[in-house]
Amino acid sequence: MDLMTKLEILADAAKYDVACTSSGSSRAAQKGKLGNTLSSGLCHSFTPDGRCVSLLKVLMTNVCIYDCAYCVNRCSNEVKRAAFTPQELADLTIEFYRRNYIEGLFISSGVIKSPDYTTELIINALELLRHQHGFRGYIHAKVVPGASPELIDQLGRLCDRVSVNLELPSRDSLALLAPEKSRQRIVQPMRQIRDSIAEDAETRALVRRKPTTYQHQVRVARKHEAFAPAGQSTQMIIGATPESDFQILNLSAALYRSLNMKRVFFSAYMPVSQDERLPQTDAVQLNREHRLYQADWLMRFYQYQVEELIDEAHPFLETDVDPKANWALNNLDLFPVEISTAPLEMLMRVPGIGPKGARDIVRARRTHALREHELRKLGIAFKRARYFITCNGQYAGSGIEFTRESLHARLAAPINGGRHGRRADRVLPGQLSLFDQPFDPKLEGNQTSAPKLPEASGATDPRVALRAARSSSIGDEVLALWS
Amino acid sequence: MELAAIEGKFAQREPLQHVAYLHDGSLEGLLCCIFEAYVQREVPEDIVRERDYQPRFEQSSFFVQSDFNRALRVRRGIEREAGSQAFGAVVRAAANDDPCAGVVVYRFVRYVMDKRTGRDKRRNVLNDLANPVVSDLLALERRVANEEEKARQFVRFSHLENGVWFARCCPNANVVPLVMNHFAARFNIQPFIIYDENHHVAGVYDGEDWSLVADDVINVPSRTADDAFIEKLWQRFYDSLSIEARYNPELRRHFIPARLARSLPEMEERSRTALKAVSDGESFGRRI
Repeated sequence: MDLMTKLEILADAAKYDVACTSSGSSRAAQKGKLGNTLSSGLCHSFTPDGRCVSLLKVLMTNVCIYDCAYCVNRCSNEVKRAAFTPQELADLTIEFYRRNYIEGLFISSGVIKSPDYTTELIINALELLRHQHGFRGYIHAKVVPGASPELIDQLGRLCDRVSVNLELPSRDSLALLAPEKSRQRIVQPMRQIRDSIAEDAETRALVRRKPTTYQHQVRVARKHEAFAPAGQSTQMIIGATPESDFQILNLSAALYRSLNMKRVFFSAYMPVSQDERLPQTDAVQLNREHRLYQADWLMRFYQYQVEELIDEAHPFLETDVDPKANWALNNLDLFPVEISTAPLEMLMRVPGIGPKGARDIVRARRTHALREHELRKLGIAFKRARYFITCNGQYAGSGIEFTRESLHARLAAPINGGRHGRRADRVLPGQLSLFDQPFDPKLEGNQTSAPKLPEASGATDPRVALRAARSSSIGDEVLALWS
Repeated sequence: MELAAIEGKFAQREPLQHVAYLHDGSLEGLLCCIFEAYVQREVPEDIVRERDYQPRFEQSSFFVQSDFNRALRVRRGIEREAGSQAFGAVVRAAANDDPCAGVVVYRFVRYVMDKRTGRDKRRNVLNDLANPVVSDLLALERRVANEEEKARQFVRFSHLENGVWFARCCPNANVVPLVMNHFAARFNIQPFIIYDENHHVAGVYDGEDWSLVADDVINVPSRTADDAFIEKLWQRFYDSLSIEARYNPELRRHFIPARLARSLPEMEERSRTALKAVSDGESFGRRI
């Protein structure tokens, strides 16, 4: 089989892996060696669906001994099989990298013979890259569940980021759809990776520390290569199994907290098999995936706690407004906030103002009074934010009734009458469609009003209310759905 | 500096009322124009590249010769009054193709040099985001920074028969000087040239250090046979990544503007017909 066909098969098989990020580790260039990494990452192309292509994302092989129902590469599926040799893969990566096509390599694999054998193949390829070619670019490798700890340690020192796929949001779903993978085989390597990263960071900090006395000190020996400096991530499939958004978000919050994940990726289930254990529908839950990512962003960049976003009584996120707007609508007693005095964390909670906008407001208001003109110049979405702010004591959304219903209607109105953005949404409300309705939790009998912030005593000061909300967060670090 | 000392050192002429300063298009040229404005005690209406100049009614023009030492003095002045970060913003803003860039930079320099506004050392001038003088400069800077990022993303090298790696780009700001450090560090094992077709500037890295060459005509030897094969591999890889159920060309166009898509090997005509086939419901990715 020639290289062209192999690449086509193995890239096609890897395209359902979500992560393609090249961020999180910063490695300076070195004279005589190819490549470096940037902490912000860099996207080199975008697929017709708008996902970024930053890494050469391929499988080592799509031969697999497992038969997971949701996967294209399951052994019972009749597709063409192929495998790279380590040398081929290393050379291909270098050739692409030198042309500035990619930022590095994303290597995953089907399980060939055994998890250990597969991991050894991957390690061989990465060793060629790092040691023979002197490659200093980004490498992301998947850990095959069941690989032995020694091999995972070796792998982690060759990579910038490692990830173990959680596959599905609960243990029962995993047992149903991927009977050969057990919870233990997935969570165990995650724990090992977390501990190795922490240990590595600790020894590095000790080595960096300058001695404060003149006495002889024992220097801590440093391992030559850092263990996964860009941390670990994971991904799970949404919509193949009946878990609610409440379960999914709580699980991802627990992953962030207890396993120090850098990212938890969601992937809307694509119908790739006729298995009767799976939902047989063509409607892909892209909008649900989008709302979950919005909630994920709120937890990672806006300091929201998961229980502020969703609660057990209303286990699905709102479909017509985003989770941040929904939180604001449910907490109208904290609004409107005064732009010239509100604390940074409260500014970030105003719909239409993001972390950057909030920081810019804090910088700019030291010297200038900010009104509509200035706020628009700063680049915040004034159209949304106006209902929730006052500028120098004057309510910016004048003429609007300050009630939940009225504001909800404003925020849920489609941009540009629905002619903005993705083509799947081009069917305007009220227009007849020949095809299935996209997934809508409301139709499944779920309530639509959303969670309330826990009652705080004297919640007039937004800071007090926020603090009260945080202190009531789940203290227990178990992966509740998984243990 | 005292006026007498300036007069002793620099020839002063009769101040002009409506004057435009012209420069050669380099950063040094722009900084020298600002220097000239202080020496001549004039307030220029326009500071533009000579080739972009369009005279206004009743306006006289004056070409300012670039002088490295004068430019260096302006740089030191900005850094002393507003910090090196502010000078970084000036460098980026000056690379913008907008004909207003010169005047915006000039106003910013006047603002930070002014004893009434710029002297407060405890305050970072760049934090005055709502001040029109600062926000205009930062808007220009942001556009250039975005264009820089696009260059880092979408410059594609091909391997020539003489062993050099060559790339063309067509940015709408003069960003090649700004991205050369990035590429020279990353690709330090390969001599390469990045040629900017819009500004006729080539960044040349010889394996040791990089330099800029201004040239209108550039003769490029042919590519190696291997290079064409790798490019075809890359196209095939790109084609097989697409997931039909998620097809969303609006989003891609947001990330890759059409003017840049033309120069990408994976986005050329071949791919576009293939992509059209997807939207028409045909199979995808099994063709060259």
